Amino acid sequence: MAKKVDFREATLRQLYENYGLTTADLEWEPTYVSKDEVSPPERRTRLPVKDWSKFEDPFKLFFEDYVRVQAEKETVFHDAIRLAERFGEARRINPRWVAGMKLYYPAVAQSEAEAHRGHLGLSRHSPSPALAMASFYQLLDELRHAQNDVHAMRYWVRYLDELKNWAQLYQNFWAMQVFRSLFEDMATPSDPFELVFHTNVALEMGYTNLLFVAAPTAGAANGDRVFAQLQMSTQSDETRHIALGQATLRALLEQENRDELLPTLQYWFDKWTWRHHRVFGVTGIFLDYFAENKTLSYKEAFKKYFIEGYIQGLLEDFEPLGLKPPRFLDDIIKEAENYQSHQVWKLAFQYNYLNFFETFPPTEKDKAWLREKYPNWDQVVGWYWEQVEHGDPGIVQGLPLICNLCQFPIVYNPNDPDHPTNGSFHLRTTRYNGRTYYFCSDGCQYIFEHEPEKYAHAKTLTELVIEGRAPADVEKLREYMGLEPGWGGNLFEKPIWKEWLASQGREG
Amino acid sequence: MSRFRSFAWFQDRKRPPSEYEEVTAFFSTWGIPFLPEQEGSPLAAKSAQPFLMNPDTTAIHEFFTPHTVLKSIYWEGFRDPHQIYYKTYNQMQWEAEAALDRVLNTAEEVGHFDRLPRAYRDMLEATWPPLRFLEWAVVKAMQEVAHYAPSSPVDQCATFQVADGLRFVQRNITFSMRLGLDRHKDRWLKDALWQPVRRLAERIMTIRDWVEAVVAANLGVQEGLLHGIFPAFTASAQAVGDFVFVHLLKELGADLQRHVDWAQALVDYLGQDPKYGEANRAQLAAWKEFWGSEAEDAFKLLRQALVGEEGVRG
Amino acid sequence: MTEVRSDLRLELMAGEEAEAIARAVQELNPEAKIEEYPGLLIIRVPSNTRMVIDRVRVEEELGRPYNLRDIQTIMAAFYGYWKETSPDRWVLEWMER
Repeated sequence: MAKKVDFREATLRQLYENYGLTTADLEWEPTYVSKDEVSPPERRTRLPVKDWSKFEDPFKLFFEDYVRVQAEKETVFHDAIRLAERFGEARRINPRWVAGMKLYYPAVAQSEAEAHRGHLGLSRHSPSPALAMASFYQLLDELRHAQNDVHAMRYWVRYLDELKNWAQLYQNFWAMQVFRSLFEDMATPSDPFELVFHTNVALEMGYTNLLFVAAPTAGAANGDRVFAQLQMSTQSDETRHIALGQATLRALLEQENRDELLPTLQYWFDKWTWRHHRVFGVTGIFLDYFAENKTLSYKEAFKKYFIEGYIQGLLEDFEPLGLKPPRFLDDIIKEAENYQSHQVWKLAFQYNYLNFFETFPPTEKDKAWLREKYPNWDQVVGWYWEQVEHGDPGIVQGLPLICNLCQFPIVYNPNDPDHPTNGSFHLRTTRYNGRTYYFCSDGCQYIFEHEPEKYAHAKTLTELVIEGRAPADVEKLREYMGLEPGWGGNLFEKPIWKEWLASQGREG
Repeated sequence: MSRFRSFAWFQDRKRPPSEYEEVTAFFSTWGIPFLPEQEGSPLAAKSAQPFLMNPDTTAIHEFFTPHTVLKSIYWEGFRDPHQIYYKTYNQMQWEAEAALDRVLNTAEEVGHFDRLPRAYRDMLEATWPPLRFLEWAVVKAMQEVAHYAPSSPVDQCATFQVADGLRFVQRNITFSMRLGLDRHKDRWLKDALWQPVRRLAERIMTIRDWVEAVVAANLGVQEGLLHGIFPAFTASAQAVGDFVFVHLLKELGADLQRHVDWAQALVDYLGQDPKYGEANRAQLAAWKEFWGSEAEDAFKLLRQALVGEEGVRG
Repeated sequence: MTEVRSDLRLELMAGEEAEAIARAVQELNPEAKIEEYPGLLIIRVPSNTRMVIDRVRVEEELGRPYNLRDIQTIMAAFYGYWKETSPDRWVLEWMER
């Protein structure tokens, strides 16, 4: 096929072959000011890396390419929203899935905003020009992701009220404290390279495929094309970020003095794999519970993306260089495969009178699927749903003990902290500076004891209520969290569910 | 008339907010509860615990320490006069880049570059390629602005200015490559013509007050380039019929104009603050005066090289 | 951990470009396997081989010019390392040991 070579293609090839011109060549040693004034030591990494030239960006990006490719992705996503609006799709989406979307968007929007901000700092003070350039494009991408989550909320707020308060919900809602704790921890890394570990390595390599490839299949199966397209489009950007994470790990572990770096890198690997498991395990409830039409189970998605992709993929290459499997990996696997989504869903239902999104008991059809995918489901939570089915409202009154690290309620059953169906939820305590701290697990306790001064000052919502800094009265607490009357509760008892069934020609 | 449906912080408006407004504000919600006043914020004074990590131990105190001497009762209230957000930015710049490429392709087809006079090419070699380093310094300053400004709308303006800076640098590089212009780094580091500009660039990268950085970079450097240097380049190009360079300057100039516009809008916004406006105006005027004249001084030799002594005085 | 290395894998949003890329990969690596799911097309090759996406072959399969950079608009996930992402070829492989 005859190919016309044009100026743009010719120059992009030249740029690709002379990549240093757009990266290292732009840097120079200042002589009119000091290097420390341009890049203060407290903003730079303290990792004793000797050879920065080892950083290479596999996706050599250029501005023109970037805007072209991104403009196309944006067109596809925004057209999906426009057509969904034009043809009134929102009203035809299964309300079970819609309930999940209410929870999803406010939480995830802020994670992207944190990553945007973090990469501003990393790229500005990166000693490797190639890493700085890849980080530049990442910070643009993260702005895209945060903003597109808000675009989705803007679309949804035309149909439902709950998202109008999303900023306040993120700040004050009880379950959002879990996300806040994670994202605020991520926004205040001890070192710019801790940012690369918690975002590019642990989150983007470990969990985004679960969130943005597996969960979209469930969205699509339940009528929500906007969510499906948004997340898959987001994920196409993530592939670049994953490459940055891989390149960083390789460059760090290929240093001659890697033994000096390993203790820090291992701690970050251990800490962030654990923290992300605790929080992004919540993805499980989208696949296993919110979705009426199921695609794959959390256990299956976890195996495919976390175990095969992240753990095996990483450790194959980096274990020989000294990186060990993440410290709490066995707990993580056991929990994800057996307990996590079930415990979280049960917790959400137990507090449904405090939620802004609906939850509901699993139906017979749900239970049949759950029992098939999780053979010990009855032992873990089935007994609880049995009680609910027999008339027990299933709710817990009074606020729970909440983990002082991850802000997750410390859930265990029946009333035994060491019961085998608790997964890795086991009550642990630590005394620090005259105060007792409670943890949901060994993982959270380990992190706290490593960096107590960072985490010790926060109070859980329960502690705030006890101290009188947040309201104890249920109605006032709902208001404080940003809820309005009628929000939350059991979906199956609400008119929207009955209307939906009628519209589908189904019976209650 | 039916009420429009939007986020809570727009509910008391008479008309629905623009898409720009709805998707731009409140990314940095964690910063807002700390800042004094912030009367317009839906989160002001409503959170018992604005931040969960201990501010005294985090290595970077950006959430708790103001990074400007200026004050505002509502940082999130700033608006970009061009209302650019992610969706519109990429489309706009892709169209602009494609238009520029078509001009460049035409130039190749008609053998334009090979017919440029030697003297003109030599003049360009001394004056065009090293500008990439100046714009790189502006990029670095803008990263700090985006990082520290407690305002999503300001963050966004600065972030897209960073992207524009990548565009400038890469167009500077590819145009220089095509014309075979050489020794750009040497000139930047050593030529007498460039030392005042390099000194300015290095100082820009050390400014720690993010509002001062906006004034210095945009109302100093970018304004100086746009009105003091670009017209001189354009005149030289027109004199030899280099329509390509004229087009390139027009394109990059449009980006510079947006930088000047949003900075001026920020200056106006802070100057009109109901409580701190007067104090802000005094400081902003001082910065503008200082950096405006620093930029003019820094560009003097470069302007001279482009328009001759007469042109500089005239 | 298993002893067997996981496959090199590329997950693409389904459509004609994904199909053309899959066929182009298969031409150069007969051990390539294709899996299709709603909205997703997955290309796998054994871990001890490489996945090479050659622009000329993709264009032949597609019947029109194709910029390999456009893979970014449809790429949902990958497992391996990108050894090359030049205008003419993209190559995915595991690290040498």
